[in-house]
Amino acid sequence: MKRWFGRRFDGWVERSSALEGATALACTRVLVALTLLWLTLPLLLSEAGRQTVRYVFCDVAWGGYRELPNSWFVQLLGGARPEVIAGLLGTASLAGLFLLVGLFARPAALVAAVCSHAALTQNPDATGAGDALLAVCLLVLVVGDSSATWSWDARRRTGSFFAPAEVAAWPRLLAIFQLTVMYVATGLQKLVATAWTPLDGFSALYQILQSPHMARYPDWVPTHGWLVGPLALGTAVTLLFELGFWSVLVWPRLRPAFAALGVVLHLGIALTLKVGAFSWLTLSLYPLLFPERLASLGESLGESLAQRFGKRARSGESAP
Amino acid sequence: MSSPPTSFDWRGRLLSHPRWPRLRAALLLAHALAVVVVAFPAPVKRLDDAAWQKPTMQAELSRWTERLHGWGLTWTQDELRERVTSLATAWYEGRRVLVAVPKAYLSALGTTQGWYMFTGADRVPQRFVLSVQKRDGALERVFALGEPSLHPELISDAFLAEHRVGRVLLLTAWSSRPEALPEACRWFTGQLRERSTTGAVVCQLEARAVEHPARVGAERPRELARTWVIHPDGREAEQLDEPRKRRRKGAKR
Repeated sequence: MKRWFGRRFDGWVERSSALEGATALACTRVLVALTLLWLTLPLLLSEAGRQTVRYVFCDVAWGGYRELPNSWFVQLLGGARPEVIAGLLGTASLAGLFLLVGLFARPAALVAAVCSHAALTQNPDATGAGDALLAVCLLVLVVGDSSATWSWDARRRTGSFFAPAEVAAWPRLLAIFQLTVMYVATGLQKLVATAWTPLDGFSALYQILQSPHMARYPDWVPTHGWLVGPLALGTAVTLLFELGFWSVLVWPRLRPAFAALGVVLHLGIALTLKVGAFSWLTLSLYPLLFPERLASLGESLGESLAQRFGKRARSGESAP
Repeated sequence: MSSPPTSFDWRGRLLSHPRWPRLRAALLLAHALAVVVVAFPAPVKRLDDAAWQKPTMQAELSRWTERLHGWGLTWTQDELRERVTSLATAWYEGRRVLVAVPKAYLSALGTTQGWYMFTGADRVPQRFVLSVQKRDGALERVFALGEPSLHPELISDAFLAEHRVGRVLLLTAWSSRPEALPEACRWFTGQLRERSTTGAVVCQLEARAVEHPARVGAERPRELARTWVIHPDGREAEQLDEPRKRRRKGAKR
């Protein structure tokens, strides 16, 4: 038994010490950065966003609806006032821009994680899986070298924006494991509700899509009775997908099928339900399922882009 | 003269230490274990009588009782409820001890593991309806959550479409804090007063069952679950309909 554990642990040491192509992590960095900007900028720039900040994230003393259990960090900044929350969201947005172009990516991810966490999880009534997943994604970008390629950092180091590079594999393994735990945990949780099972005819999606709180078009489903069958199928597939996602860890060849299904599932969620950034953040982690493919794709794409831009730069230099 | 102090490259020394890969692998395993333990599904809080009274919970209880009868377990709904409550309480209390340390660690990292997403369908959602009382006493609706705003100049559709606003208003019905509705009502009253609305503001929770696939096209009456009124002079009170008043009087006796 001791030997068996020893062999397993040695295998894990070897696996977690491995190096691999950096493109997958770079893709995740870009997608997480875009999602972060999509999440924070409307809260800062639109009237409805500013009103939401006041309603949801500010203490009752500063225009909110309830007393909030301020974190020490927010208290240090002066409490949950509109200007403090806006400052945190603005800083997170700036860090998001740095992440997007891959400039000082690790510190930027850390700043984005601290500021977005302080601002967005202020109100326990209004925080959820999307915020937890944002923290997970940013943690992966803090511990992983996500700007080794396709980044301004790579350009500063090597002179090429697209320079191929190798990074440690363990941050990616950690992220895939977290994604798996998330799916399986939510799948297991659903088993207590009859609507997700044949006990109530797989009726969960049919009912959830009528929720006035979560659904984008709550009155649409009851006027389209033909949706009963497709939504029952969708309910069953969603549950099987979530409960079976662990298999991508054991059989990597299943990854393309699960990823394709996941993309359809999350696009469906994003189109029909109001869940914030959750779907986009989940999809941001999907490139991490395909490190080898993305490494070779990134390398060839990088080479052709470098050649094209290199030529332009040379022709620009020689122009009168 | 002493030589100038040399900088100690602790990071380089740690990363090049022969034992570092094994230590890192062990730390990663500990992190993964913490994630699994905290993420494993559990009741989010103790199940109390108020939670069991929700129509969604009643429907679940009824379906599970039927199903268990089919499997030969002849528990009544009350028996099943008691067993589920004691199991959930034991689970909740036991888990609280087990997850204390990993939960504190993950909270410090900011990576809490709450993956409760659409666990069950809310079969009888109570939606927040905001109205203003006109001089003749009639109610003029401003918005009902889930429908376009009738007065976008007062409360805009873009604001109502924010997912966090929907989540907060969901809790006016589901929260264990009864003051959730008055708090929301006060905030919306403030918004309306800023836009020169003068009448009493009436906030209601309107319950209406969602359509079940087995009963497509069936009647789904609307029923007021709660009403909170804030008068122009700042007085505020819960408004009870006649059956509710009678129930409350009976309970007092």
